[in-house]
Amino acid sequence: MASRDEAPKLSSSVKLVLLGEAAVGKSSLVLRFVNDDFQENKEPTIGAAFLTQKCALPSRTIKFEIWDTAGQERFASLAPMYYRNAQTALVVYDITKPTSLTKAKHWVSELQRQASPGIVIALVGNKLDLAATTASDGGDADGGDGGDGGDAGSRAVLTAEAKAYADEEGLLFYETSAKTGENVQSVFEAIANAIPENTLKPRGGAGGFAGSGRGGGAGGAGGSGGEGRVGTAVNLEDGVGAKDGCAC
Amino acid sequence: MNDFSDIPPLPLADWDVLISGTGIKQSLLAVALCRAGKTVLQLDKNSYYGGSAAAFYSLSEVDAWVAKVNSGDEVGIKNAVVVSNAGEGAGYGSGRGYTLSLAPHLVYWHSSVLEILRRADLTDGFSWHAVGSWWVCLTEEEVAVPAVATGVGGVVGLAEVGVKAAKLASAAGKKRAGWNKGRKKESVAETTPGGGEESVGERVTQGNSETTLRKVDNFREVPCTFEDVAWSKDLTDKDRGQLGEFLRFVMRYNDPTDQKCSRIFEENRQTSLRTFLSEIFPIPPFITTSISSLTLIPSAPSEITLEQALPRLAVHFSSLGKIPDVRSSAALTIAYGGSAELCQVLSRAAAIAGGINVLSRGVKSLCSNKKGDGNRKLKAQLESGETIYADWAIGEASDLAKEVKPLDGKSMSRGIYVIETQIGWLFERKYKDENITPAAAVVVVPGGDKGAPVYIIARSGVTGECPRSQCEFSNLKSIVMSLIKPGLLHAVTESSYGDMNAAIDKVLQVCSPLSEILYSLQYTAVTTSPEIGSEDGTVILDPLTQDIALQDDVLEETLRIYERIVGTREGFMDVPEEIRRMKEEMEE
Repeated sequence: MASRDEAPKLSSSVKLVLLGEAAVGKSSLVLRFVNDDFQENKEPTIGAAFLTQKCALPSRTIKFEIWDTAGQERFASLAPMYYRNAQTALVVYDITKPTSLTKAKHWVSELQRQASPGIVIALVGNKLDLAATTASDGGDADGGDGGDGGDAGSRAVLTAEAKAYADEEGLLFYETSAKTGENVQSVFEAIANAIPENTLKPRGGAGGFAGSGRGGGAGGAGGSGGEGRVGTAVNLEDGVGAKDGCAC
Repeated sequence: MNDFSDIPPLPLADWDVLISGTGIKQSLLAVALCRAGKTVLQLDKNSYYGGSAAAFYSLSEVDAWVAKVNSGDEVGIKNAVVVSNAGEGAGYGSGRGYTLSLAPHLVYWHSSVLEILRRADLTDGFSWHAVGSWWVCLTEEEVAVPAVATGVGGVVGLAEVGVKAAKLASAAGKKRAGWNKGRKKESVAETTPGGGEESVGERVTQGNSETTLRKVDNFREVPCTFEDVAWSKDLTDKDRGQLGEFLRFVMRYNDPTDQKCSRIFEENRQTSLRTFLSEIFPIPPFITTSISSLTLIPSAPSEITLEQALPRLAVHFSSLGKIPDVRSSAALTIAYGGSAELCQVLSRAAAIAGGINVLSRGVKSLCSNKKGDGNRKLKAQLESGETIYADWAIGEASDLAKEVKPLDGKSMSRGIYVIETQIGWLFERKYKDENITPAAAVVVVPGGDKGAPVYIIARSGVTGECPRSQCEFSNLKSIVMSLIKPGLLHAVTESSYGDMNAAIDKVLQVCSPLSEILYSLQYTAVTTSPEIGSEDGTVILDPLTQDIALQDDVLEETLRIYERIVGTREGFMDVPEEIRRMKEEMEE
């Protein structure tokens, strides 16, 4: 995805956290973005602490570190460390399930409470493939906020309704389908574009300090301009094979 | 912490392992057992992770905990006192406020826990920071009199040692580049000190920091690096010899091939470290105090036996010089609350490996599953009314609805102080060629011969434990913000709150005339003894000790339990093969 033939662009690492009710397709969205793949009955967990994917913009390359909830959202058991230093969040709901939007709103306020002040939040209505084929303009689809689950064949959350909420809260808003891939790339590109330049930390070529999600902290290495590697965090990967010897 | 009303029921009633609690050991076991393919349910009666190693992220969370402690509902903790001089509402906002951790552990480079985290591929989940020098508060005499050897004797000829020391010193001169192989040598960047650094720098007496121990009023740095021992002008050649010889002993006492050292050790196991030093390796009192401080045992010096002290000193000295880019450091600490963060990352790792974490759900009763509902050994009733079955139940006694009796033994006073003053001198880099600035330091205020010392773990703002607004005060261009806005002092002692406060005052007096404690939390940790004799399948964990550094016992206990359940210690915490492959693919 990122082309290597041009002069190296500014590249930065960004922690992205996923939030949303179970089974709205959080992991599927990531799978589509990262592997351009979709699995019909995917197991709920992903198996890695986070997945990474680059997003190349004209001016810079963003490397997303995508953190999945690992199922911890089901019992409201996400730890504070999950939100910490997240520069952006994807709050996902299922357009066929109105309660999932209610949940999404909870997550948005949780983020506003717990996450860094400048966090970029995108509200994403997933399962667009299940919407009535005529749809996307949010014609008054059947049922309004009535049934969930049962009539999983059709849209139950109006685009306009979710969009209005997103505008009110200052969130990016997209409707996507992880299954067909529709809009998935666009969401991540929109996020990449929305992240303020000054919150991005350059990634020192040869594995500088830990990625933004972890190393950033309350400001330590932030302003040091990348040269010299004077900072505060210790890179554990470096010294694993350090020679033995003692102080005597 | 969350206010989601409709928490769903558990997905299963039937589990291989039920773990109650989200402390360090519980969480290590959760990851290890999940990765070994067991079905694991990890519960916590609290709404937060960590149990006795939790962190609180706002002052209102602390208040809630204090209320619980003082009503007797927090096992092993009593007598919590909060003093707040912070402005109305300051720090009460959640999420971005203070991080007050009950377990701001140091982690030695050569500790088995760190080794396991590396093997488990979990170290990159943390922001690791270096712990800088140890400092001891000395008496006027100790500071004034430049080290004078107090006697001649011991088991080795001093002349011989002196020669050795001299050789060591010159060898060190030649081989300094090799002192730390892991260290990046590319650039020795000169920092441009911010305004704050200069003024603090003046306070530090260091004509030449490479050869003189740093001194700030009555606080003196503990000599420990090779350079300190070999060159420091604060030591006479005799001291150098004795100290060098003692350090050699520390590294060899456990080596069966070194009969001399093991014999000396066997003969003196129960001798106090202080007595041992004065008899076998006579060194000036200030060095004895310094060495003693490295044990991190907050007991009176007369109570610290050689047997207790040596393993800890050995870990310290074998870790020293190994951390890349900061060779004067021996230990690390995890940002955002030390082991509190560790617990959260581990619990998440357990969830990633297929486990289920559920907060705010405790175990109400636990018994053998006699009636034969299914074939699990144990039946647990949860506070939520649910009944679950498991072959194993692991937790501290209080988390498994077992009776807990407090021991009459020692209690430990602990305190967390939020300060707003300049303690930057504690976090300065010791050597100019180190590329990492320490974010924590250890300060020891001895309590005399009979009294317990107070250990103070200072944590700079860089560990992310103070509100951003406080840190943002400072000039972003300054490389070390901690010099301008510091953070927290954690105190631990077997002595009283009064002694603890006095020790904190001593540090603050040195810091700056503007010293102020914004907020403090003090509490007493009491050793508790679990009920012995449980149903088959129930594993009662020892309560987490109040140690300042994360001890290897923590891992040893979890390994023992893992072995009981899985049948082997092999593969403990190993990443399953398919996940490893997936990660490798992802890297490409």
